Amino acid sequence: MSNPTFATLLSRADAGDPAAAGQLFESLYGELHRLAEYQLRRNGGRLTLSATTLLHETYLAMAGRDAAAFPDRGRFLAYAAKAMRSLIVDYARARRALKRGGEFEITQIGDRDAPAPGANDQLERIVDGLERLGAVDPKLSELVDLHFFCGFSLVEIAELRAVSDRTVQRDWRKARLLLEGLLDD
Amino acid sequence: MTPLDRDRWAEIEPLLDQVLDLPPEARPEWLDRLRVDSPTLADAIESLLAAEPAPNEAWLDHDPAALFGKRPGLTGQTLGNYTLDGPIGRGGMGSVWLAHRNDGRFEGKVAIKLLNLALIGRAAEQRFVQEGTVLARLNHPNIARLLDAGVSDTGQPYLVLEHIEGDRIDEHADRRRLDPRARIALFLDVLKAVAAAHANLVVHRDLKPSNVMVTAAGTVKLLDFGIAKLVDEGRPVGADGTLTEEGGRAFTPQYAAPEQLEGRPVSTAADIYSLGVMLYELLSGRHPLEPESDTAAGFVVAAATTDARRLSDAVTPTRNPSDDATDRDAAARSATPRRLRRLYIGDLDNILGKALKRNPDERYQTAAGFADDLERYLADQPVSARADSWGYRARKFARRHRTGLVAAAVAIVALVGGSWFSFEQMTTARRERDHARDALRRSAASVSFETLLFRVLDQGNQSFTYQELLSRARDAVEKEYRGDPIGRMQLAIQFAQIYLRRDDAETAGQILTRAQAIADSLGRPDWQARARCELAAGQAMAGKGDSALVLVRAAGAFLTKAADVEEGTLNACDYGAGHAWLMLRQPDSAQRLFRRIVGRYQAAGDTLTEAYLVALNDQASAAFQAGRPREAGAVVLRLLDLSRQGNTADPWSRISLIVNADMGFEALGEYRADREFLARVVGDSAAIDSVAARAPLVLARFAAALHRIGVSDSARYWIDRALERPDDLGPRFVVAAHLTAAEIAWTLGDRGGFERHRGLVARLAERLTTKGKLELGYLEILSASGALLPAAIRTRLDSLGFGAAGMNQALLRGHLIAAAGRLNSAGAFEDARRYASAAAGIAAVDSLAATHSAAVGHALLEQARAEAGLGDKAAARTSIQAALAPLRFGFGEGHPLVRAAVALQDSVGR
Repeated sequence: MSNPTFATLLSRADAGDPAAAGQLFESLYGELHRLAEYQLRRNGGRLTLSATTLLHETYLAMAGRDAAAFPDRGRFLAYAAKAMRSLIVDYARARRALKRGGEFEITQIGDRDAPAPGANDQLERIVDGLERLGAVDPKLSELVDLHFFCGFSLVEIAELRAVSDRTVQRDWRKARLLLEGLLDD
Repeated sequence: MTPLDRDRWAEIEPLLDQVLDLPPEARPEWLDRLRVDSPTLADAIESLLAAEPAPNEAWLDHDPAALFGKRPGLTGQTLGNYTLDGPIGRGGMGSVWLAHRNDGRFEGKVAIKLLNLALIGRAAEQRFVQEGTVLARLNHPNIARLLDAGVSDTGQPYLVLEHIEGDRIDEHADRRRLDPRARIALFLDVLKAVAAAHANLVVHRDLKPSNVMVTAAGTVKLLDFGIAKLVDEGRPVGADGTLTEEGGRAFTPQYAAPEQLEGRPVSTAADIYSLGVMLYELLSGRHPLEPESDTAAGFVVAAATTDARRLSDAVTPTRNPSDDATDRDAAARSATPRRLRRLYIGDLDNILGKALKRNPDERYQTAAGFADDLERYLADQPVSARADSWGYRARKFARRHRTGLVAAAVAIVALVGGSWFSFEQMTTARRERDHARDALRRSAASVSFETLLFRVLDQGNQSFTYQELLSRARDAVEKEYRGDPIGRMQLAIQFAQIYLRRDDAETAGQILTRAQAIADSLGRPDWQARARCELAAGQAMAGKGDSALVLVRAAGAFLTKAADVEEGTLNACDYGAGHAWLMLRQPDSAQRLFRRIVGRYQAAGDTLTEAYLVALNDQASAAFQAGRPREAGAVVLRLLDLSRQGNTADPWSRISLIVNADMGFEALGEYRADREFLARVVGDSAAIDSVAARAPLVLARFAAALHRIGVSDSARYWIDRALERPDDLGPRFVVAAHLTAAEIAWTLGDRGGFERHRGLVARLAERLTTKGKLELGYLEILSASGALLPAAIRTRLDSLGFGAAGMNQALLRGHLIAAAGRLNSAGAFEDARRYASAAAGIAAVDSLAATHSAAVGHALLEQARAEAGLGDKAAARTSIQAALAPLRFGFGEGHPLVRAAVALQDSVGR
């Protein structure tokens, strides 16, 4: 992972360069994965770690290596959120494949600790639905990544995006509607 | 619907923004208008809106942990119209969650109590909801409202309560350093709320500081009113009438009234007691009972045995200058200990004393009365509560005394089967008595047994078991008394007695055989006789009556040769022979010998000694076995009277008396008296405990008594405590305790515990007496199942010599009842009737009054069930009619067996 190019990659991805976006994703995913694995080993294979903490540590680690040119937290998160989603999904898949292994759990801080019943049968459908949502409206899929997978509150996301709370709340409702519709297809 | 892509979404999104801002009811009209211009868009939006999941229902509203297949938590789940937001507490009855209404009708937060599922049965759900509705009407500004009660689709009972934010009343008072008057004023609000609830016939049953909150505005709010009752009465009764008590009773030992701890019926008076404890703590910072330990058990013991300490004494500083707790407590009340004491002496002492009376009838009858006195106190007017007068104390003493006498009257029955305790009492007493004489007789070489033990103990500072201690002491004796055969022999006899008391007749026998050899080698006929008689006693205890008699006869031959025989030896020989005759079921011969021992003590004026009591006990035991219960009763009355006059310092003797009384109650079917008696003595045994490390035995008996009357969860607690010290129980009692534990586990539905204890019993089986084998058979009856059951029971009872002479009738009766119960459940009514009627016969013969014997009631109930099962309604009617009074008396009105009997009577008619 060549971090000196992170800032460059970011601006190229911002400009719509798919190759740069792919590289950026890989670099972020690699970093998240590395940190998660490190924590996992350090805790004897059993880890309960909030996604928000993991992202924050990743940000600090990467920013520490490239302090001068590193982008702000909001821009970082816009990309890292999707990498986080992939990481969680991959762990979920691995856990399911191993049945017993992968004691890795990423939890949310705050009050949301209950999954909807039956959600665990839907993993692949959800992954697919999120991809399609990203194709239709990247902003909404990023919102799902930030809120659902990374555990940021809607208020925090509004701050990150410098928009009103109401806008984010309405976006969230739209994302739910759209995703539900896409899953039903 | 056209596949959704970026471009189409760009068209839809602004429209969706519009429609989402509309209230749901305005949407159809909006869509209709849109449909006029662009029907496809309208359709697309309509179908999107239709897919909208309810809040909290979409996977997106939860945690990605769901993707890992994690078990669902509760946050976000809905119960009726409420959504759980997060846990805020957890207690014995279940967990408490913060929640909000999800239908938009009520904005505020509520607390939802999820009751432990184990506390409530499905059959009780309807009742639960009904009761909840009654409680919901309990509307008082100082009582947190019960808003709703229900049972979820999954069977989870829940209560929706007003959510109170505030501090516990005691923390509130301490933080503000409220002085006593302010504390009383605050407490008056509590009392008024309780009075309002009592006026609605709602009892709290678990009043404690954590259930009394004070809000930031200073308003008192009582939590959980009526919930304990709701839960308690909702507990299921099994098909066979057993009470399932997985969840335990809903109260807190620290604040529970004595009647709650003893499982007696609870009324508003229990709340008065709890309130008394709370006010006492608020005013003094101390608990009124001074338990030895702050554990639940400590409070149970204290509540069963001690009266509340005077409030003014609680705030009096101790002489120990390092104890500044009273200063601290006083400072938290903006006062000094001296000032508090002055304040509390008199009226407040009396008020608290009245609220904390052990007898519910002597407390304030209402919370309003309690409040009234406190208000009068604050207004410097005379209060109604009075200090206990001399007359009152005397009456109370007499009442206690009388209970003791009743206990004594039946104690005697216990000695029929085993006579273990009389034996041990004897050895203990004789040791003390003879020790004094022998010490005088022996000169230079004398050493007391205790000194020896202490010296052995001093040899190292590591801890060791009693067993190890004894074997070290024996080694020491061998070494130090090599040149002193008489000393060695005397000590050997003492050792043998200890081993006998520890139920190890084998080791005792070995030691005594050696003692006998020493005596023979010395050629001293008195000692030769003594050693043989001691050995005879051991043999008798091991059930070998014949060989015991042979030994006593041999001893007699030596006694005729002896020039000077001390009384101890004569007594030992009569004692050994007497117990041999008891074993051989020749009680008249035994009684003659025991009477002779009694006569010797009387002649010597030794009537206040333990040894005399022991001899009386034996005499009574023989009288009982001879079928002369009145005579036996008279002797035991004297016995208990004397034990009270004399300084019965020997703890083991006291325990023996206790256990004898308990066994007597059991044999007579006097379960209620038994439980009340034991509850009183358990505290006593705790004191004994520290002296002799023997109390586990009483605890085990207490557990068995609690179990008999259906308080099995408490029984489990005590039996576990007893089994913590198997060494102190002795081998045979360990077996008995495991048997009890297995039965309790069975009743509680704990199959694992049942199998574990049963396994231990089976492993120890070679040590079992007839009694033990019978008990083991009982466990087999309990666990036999299905078609095998009738056959298994019959084989078991037959192989045990059903009906044979010499069998412990109380035990046999218990097993017959159990067998009948199981057979009734299995539909084998013929067999059930046979066993139940045999049991009823035994129980009636062994009862003081058939209408007081719980065993009679229980047996008749099983008999009635069998008769009903056989279609013989007339017989069933008669049996059930006869069963009701003894069941009510023995078990109490609320007991499942009583309820089962009433239900059966309803079905067969009166």
